[in-house]
Amino acid sequence: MAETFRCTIVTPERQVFDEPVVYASIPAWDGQIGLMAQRAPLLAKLGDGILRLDFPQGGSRLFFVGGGFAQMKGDKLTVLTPEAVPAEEVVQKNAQAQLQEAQAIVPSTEKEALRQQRGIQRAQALLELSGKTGGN
Amino acid sequence: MAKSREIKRRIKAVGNIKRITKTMQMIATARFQAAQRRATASRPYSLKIAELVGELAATAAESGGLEHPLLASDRPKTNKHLLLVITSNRGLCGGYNGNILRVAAAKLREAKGQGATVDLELVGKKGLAFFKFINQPVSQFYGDFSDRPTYDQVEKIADKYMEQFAAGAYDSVSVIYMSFVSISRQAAKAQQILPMENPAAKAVEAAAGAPGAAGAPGAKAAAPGYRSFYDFSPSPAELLNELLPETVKTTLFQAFNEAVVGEQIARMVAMKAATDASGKMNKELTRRYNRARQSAITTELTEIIAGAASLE
Repeated sequence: MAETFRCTIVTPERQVFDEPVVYASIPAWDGQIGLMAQRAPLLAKLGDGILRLDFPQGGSRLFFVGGGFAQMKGDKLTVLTPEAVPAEEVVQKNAQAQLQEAQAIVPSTEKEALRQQRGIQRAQALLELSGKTGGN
Repeated sequence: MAKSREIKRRIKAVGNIKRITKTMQMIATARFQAAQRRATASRPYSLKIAELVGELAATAAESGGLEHPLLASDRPKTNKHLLLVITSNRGLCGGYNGNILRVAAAKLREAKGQGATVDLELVGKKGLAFFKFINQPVSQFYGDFSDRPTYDQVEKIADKYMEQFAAGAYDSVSVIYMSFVSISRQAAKAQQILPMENPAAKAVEAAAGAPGAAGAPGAKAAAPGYRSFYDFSPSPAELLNELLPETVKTTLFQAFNEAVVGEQIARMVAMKAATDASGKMNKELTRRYNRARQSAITTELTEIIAGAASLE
């Protein structure tokens, strides 16, 4: 059986998740990073995207993560994020609305363009997640 | 008999008040427990953020200085300060608001003494009433905070402060709130949230202090070496730039959480005292009522006996 490591997801308001996993796919700012036990220490900035955790007994759980940081140290992964939503709670309709809202922005400054980009990325991640779980 | 009726009415009134204060005490206890739970739940996040900042700061300090708009720097002074005062929306919580406002008023006086201007921002209706009374204009009032402040709400305020501070609108941003020392002790405290202490300086200090105290030169060499094992993505300096605003947010969030806990504790204590006092008053009034009743009976008896004697 594959080696496990502990994964905790912490938001400012509470600890969302704390269980051993065998594999984690985290949405870093520049793309997904896959993590397994015995990984060298890592400190990464996160983007908006999907966090996947595979359990030792099989099966996996998906979360939507809205930015934040991930730290892997001593076989312990800590995900610090202002927003962590379990996939079951992501609603497709809302995601669609958010995507439209983000696309409707007409950026006139660099800051707005960045915000739009982030909004689209975020909504797309949400949409993808809601498609995966068949949520509506 | 008129007097004893009067006392009886008061006994009833005191009894009613006691019932109300007792209920309020129980509500405050329940709210306190909920608030305490929330405050505890938010602790791991701020601790972890602080830990990351510490680790990064040391690495960043090694690879040169640390520059960030939120850090203390020798930029031109505007002589303007921002003060956020967190008070409660409701009264009946003993000296809670009084203590906070006393610290706030002292801070205002101090700033005025130095010829600085202060923009006052406020949470809680009780503070609003106070500053209106002392004729101190309040530049911004946040009225939508309940006893469960959410991170989103606090984040908005923190973002606004950081933007204003980075733009050079203020020399400093402080928050005055009731800090939680222990269950039996809370203290009104003024905490500066911006500019931040330079974490690099702190890390260097700690690195210099710790091995020196232990007297082991090897420890000093080992610590930075261990840190460089980290894979950083993006660079440590960039990560730190992202983390520092997060620290400001968590600090402010912590302040809001502690304020709520403090308010409920203060109300709990005040209502317990009120319940005890009304119990005591009830006892005293009952004694007075019995005495009045007894003396009325005695007077009546004396009158009857006197009347009977005069007939003989």
